[in-house]
Amino acid sequence: MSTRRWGAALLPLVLIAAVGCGEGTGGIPQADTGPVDCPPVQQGFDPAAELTWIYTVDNTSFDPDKITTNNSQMYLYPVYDSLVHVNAAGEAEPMLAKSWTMSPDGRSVDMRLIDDWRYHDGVAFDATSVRANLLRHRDKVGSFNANRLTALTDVQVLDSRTVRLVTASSAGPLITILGGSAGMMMSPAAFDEPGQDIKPTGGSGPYTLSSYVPGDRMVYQRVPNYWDPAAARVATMTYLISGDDNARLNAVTTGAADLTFLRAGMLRPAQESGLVICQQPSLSSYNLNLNTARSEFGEVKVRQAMNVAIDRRSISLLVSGLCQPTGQLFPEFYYASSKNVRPAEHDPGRARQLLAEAGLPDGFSFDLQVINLDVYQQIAQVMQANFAEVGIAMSITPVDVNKLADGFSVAKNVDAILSEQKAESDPSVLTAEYYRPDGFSNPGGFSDPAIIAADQEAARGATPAQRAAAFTTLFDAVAKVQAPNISLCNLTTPFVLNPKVGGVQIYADASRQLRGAAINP
Amino acid sequence: MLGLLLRRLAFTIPMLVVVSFCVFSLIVLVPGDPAVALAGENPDPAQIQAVRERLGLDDPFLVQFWRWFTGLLHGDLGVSLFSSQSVTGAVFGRLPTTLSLAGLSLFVAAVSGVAVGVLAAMRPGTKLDRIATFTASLGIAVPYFWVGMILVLLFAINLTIFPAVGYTPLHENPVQWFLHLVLPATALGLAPAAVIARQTRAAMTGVLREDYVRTATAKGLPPLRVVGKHALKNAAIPVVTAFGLEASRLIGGTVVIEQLFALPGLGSLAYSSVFARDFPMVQGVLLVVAALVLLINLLVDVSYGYFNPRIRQS
Repeated sequence: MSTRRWGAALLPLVLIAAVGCGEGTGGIPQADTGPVDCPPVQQGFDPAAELTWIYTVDNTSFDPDKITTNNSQMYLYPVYDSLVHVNAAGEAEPMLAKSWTMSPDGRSVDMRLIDDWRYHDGVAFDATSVRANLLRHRDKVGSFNANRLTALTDVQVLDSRTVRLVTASSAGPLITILGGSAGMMMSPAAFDEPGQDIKPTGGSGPYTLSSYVPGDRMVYQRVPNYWDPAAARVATMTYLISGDDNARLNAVTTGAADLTFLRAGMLRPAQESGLVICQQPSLSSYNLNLNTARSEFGEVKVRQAMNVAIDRRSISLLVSGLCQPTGQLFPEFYYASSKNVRPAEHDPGRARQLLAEAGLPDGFSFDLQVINLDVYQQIAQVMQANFAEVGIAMSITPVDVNKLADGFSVAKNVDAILSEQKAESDPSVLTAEYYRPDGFSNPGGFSDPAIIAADQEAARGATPAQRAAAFTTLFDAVAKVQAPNISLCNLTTPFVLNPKVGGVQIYADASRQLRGAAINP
Repeated sequence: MLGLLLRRLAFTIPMLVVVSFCVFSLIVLVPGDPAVALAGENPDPAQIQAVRERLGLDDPFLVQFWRWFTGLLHGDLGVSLFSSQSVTGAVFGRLPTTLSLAGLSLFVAAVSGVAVGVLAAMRPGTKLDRIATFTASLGIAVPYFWVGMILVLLFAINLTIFPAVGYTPLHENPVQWFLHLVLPATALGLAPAAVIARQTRAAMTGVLREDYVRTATAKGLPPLRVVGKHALKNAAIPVVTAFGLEASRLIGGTVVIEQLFALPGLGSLAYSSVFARDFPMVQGVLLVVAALVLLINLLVDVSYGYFNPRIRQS
């Protein structure tokens, strides 16, 4: 065969090798583990500019009560302001409620509303409309927000600018809950108007929705004379949708979008593209959740053995360093955590000793269900090897994401699951889910009096500072008995930006808000 | 010809009913309860049950199917479980994107496939024929999503000639519509082009050896006329069969290509709906796709009658 023919025959193989092996030559790409702020807004930013964000999933409704996923809230933030703003660090700040005061018994809170603001349809924003919104959020059949507002027993209009929110036990958790869709304000005139799902007319936020093509894009236009001009620095915001990681990165690389969020697998191409990458720790975490009514998980020493058997550093390396080893549900920087709880070091010897003390010197076996995506299966494989080291035989069953909760939380016939726990607007939502005996993520009915008492105490505080001590007690107690959710690591959220984008904040609660972002000169 | 069309059409309608029943049955068998996701955060069993009852997910299979089927007869495919969006609106809103992509891909496949196949058949055993055969084999072997990624790297990111993602409707801006579809249509059309090229070459090689072709050439007719008027039509049946099969396969391929190029078509709707367990939406998409495939088969069957009068008469 001539040289030319050999060359022709080998060309496709060379091409395949060049593309296929490109990612593997340098090992797993690693992110800087610390936070990296996004570039700030510069003087002379373009107020007439358009900012384009691209995300993975579409909105489910533009009515705050008809959304069906937490992700949908990001599409509502430009249109609806909430009573409270939960900032990037996860703390409550004034928004449509410019201040609030807790009652001495902590059961109610008086909220003072901003002046001279109207809904997009011209209806005045006042205490009566706030009451109507909160009751609708709580009582509307099928409302997404109903479960979050079950503690709210009454909403009283004290005057046109003041409302009193009354709860059965504690109004503390309600403050940050009102930072999400449960606190979004919509013109009461639009409540029963048809079409609000796709064409909202009664918003209260900095933008109105000017066009929406389901599955493709939504375009927002700035409202004239918005009450907080620093929150609306671009005239137009376009949100594009693509479920494919490469397509989103390609969109930013080619200028079709200005920014997106990154997954671990996109880190190296993003680094090589010369774009700006910024990252912040989030409140999300990977957790191994055990059903204490099955296998040997009812025994504290077994759970403690599993906790020290896991090599969290290897798991962190597996996801390019974008997940910091942890020993609790929330990261240390968050007020709802304990500085006393450190991630357990990988210690197979100690794990074997604990198993022996539990009467299981030869170990035991169980089945772990994981979402059928690569990252979950790879983490599960690391744990499988860790557990095998100490005599625990773990089989892995990949299942669809929707099936995971079916088996574990509803049918309660699954031993254990590995899942990503996303943040909620208030930590009490997740502590109830994991540590209350009837919690959705606690199918075995695990209960510990010290944890329950601390959870109730945490709910009584009015401010994060007042609640922090109770959360410290709670997570100390969780660690002491190694509650059946074994937290592995807290996720870091990286964004990739066009170099001209400034003022983007990465919210710890993964709410993906672009409030205040600008296009720099 | 009209009789053939009516006969085939009469066969297509019950086929569509059977397909819709099969689709519905398969979806019911799929594990995962959408009520759990729809019941909100930290739901208790009563709340999950309430959602099931509200959406009729607890009803017997045949009751659910009959409700859906009677809606279908009235042109109503139901409402999405997750977005309150009308399934009919969502499906037909996205259909133009998928039809644009599939149509342009088939155009790329037909034109390039037939051209390469004819050229190779006219010069059998030459370097041109070998290159065409090798290229066709390569086109079949290389996965279309890989081709798509290479095209994006080359033409969108490095050369910045075409957009990497997105879609512009034809009625808004025809030039942008075309530019946004060039890369995905090329990626998707490459494998069908290769199959059509091979089929065309094989069929044309046989036909070009026939006596009547030799006679036409001997009479002094120009080669293009011999090929175009006398040979191609007689070689068309296997080519049209391959075209029909590839067209059906290509519609399945849109699922991946639409994801890769962020095109808001039926493929990406199917993808997101399956993952969300949005049953009515999945049913709507599959039904329309099944109707498209049956339509393609119908057209292929009818075209046999055009190319071969004996089929028409039988």
